[in-house]
Amino acid sequence: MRNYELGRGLLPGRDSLPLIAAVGGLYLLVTLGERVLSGVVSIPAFSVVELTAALPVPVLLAAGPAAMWGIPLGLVLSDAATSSLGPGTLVSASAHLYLGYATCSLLRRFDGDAPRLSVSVVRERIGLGRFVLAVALAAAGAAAVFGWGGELTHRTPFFVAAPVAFAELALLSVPFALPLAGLFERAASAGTSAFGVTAPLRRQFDGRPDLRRVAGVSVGWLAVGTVASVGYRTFEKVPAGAFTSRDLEFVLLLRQPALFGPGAGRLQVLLGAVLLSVLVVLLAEPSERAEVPAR
Amino acid sequence: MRLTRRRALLGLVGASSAGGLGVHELLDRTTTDGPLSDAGMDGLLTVADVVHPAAREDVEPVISAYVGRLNQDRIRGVVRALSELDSRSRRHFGSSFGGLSRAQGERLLATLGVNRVQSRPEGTLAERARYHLVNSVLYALLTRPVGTEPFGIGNPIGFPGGFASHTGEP
Repeated sequence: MRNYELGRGLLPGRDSLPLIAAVGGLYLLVTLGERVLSGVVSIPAFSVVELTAALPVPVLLAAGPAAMWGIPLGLVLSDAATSSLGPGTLVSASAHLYLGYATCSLLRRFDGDAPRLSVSVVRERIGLGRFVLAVALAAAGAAAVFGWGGELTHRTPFFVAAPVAFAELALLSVPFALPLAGLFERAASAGTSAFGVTAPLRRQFDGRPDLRRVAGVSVGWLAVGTVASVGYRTFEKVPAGAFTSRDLEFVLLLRQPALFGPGAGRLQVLLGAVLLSVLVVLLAEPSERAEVPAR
Repeated sequence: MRLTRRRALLGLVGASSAGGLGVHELLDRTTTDGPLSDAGMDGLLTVADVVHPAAREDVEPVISAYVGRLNQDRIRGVVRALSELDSRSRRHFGSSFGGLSRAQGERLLATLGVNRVQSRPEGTLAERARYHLVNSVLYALLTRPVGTEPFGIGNPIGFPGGFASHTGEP
C-alpha cells in the first residue's frame, strides 16, 4: 500500500520562517506597487487574477516547497493592506498554491533525477516545451479553482471566471516565470547565506504525479465546468413549454430544488471540493523512492 | 497511522466540502438591512454613468424617485450588491464604487462579468448587480423622458405623458 506523506517537506519548519516572511513581503510589495503605479501609469489590467499571480511559479521554482506558506501569508497581507480580506482571500490562496505546487510537481516528474529543481534544470534538462505544458496544466487547475471560488463566494459564475483566469494565469506565468525565478534564486541564495540558513532551499517536491490523470481532471474540470455553468443557467430560464411542445417533458424531471436554484450552488461547491481534493492527491503521488521501505 | 491515498482523499474531500459549504451558506445568509445611503446613491449614479449617456445631474432625481418606490426586499438586494461592489472597488482602485470614474466603473463591472451574465435576483454578485443595479437603473431611466430624449423618444412606454404630448404644440 502506498504511503502518502502529504505533509513531508511541506510543513513550515523554524528555519523556513525568514523565507516565508520574504515571500509574504514580496506579495505585499507587488500589490502596493501595482496600486501606486496604477495611479501614475496605465498598467495592463487582468480581469480575474491580480499581478501577484505571476509570483507562485517563480517563487516555488527558486526556493522550493519551504517557501510555500509564504504565498497564503502574502495574500493575507496584501488583502489586509487593501481592505479586501475575506473569503476571496482563501480562494486566491488555494489557486496560487495550486498553480505553484502543480507546476513544480509536474516539472519534477519530467526530471526526477535532478538533485533539485532550478531554472538551469528547466532550461537544460526539461526543456521549454515541457515547461509550458506543466504551466498550462497547472493554470487549468488553478483557473478551475478560481471559477469554483467565484461560485463559492457568490461573486462570479464559473463560466465567466474560469476561462479568463486560465488565459491570464498562463499569460503571466509562461513568459515571466523563468526570468523571475532566476532573479529569486540569486536573491534566495544571498539571503539564506546572510542568515546562515541553507537547509530550507535544499527541500524538494517529492510528488511524482501521473501526467495523464492530472491533465484529464484539470482540463476536464475547466471545460465541463464552463459548459455546465452556462448550461444549467440556460436550462433554468427556458420555459417548461419549450420542452412539453417537443415531447421532452422527461427533461423537466431534472428541475429539482436540490439540483437547480439554491441547490445548484451547494452541488457545485461539493463537486468542486471533490475535484480539488482529487487533484491534490494526484499531485502528491508518492515517488518510486518513497515506496522503497526504509531500513 | 499510515496515510493512504484513500484516507488522504477522504480527509481532503471532507474538509474542503465542509469548509466550502460553510462559507457558501454563511455568505448566502449575509443580508444588509437599512435604507440606501448617500454613498449607495452615488453607486447607482456610477452605474447610470456606465450604462446610459445622460448627464449625472439629470438622472439623479429620476433614480432617487425610483428607489423611493422600491419595496424593502428590493432595497436590501440593491444595498447588498452595492456593498459587495464597494469591497471589490476598494481592492482594485482604493475607493468606494460611488467614487469611481465612468471608465473605472465600466472596468470593474466588466471584470465581474456583469456584461456577460443573465440577471438573477439571487445569484452571484455579477448576476445580482445586473438585476438590482444595471437593469433597475435602465428601467428607471428608459421609462422617463430624461432617459429616452437622448435617443429621440420624448414620450417613452410606461411614462404617463400622453395627455401633455397630445395637447401640446407639435
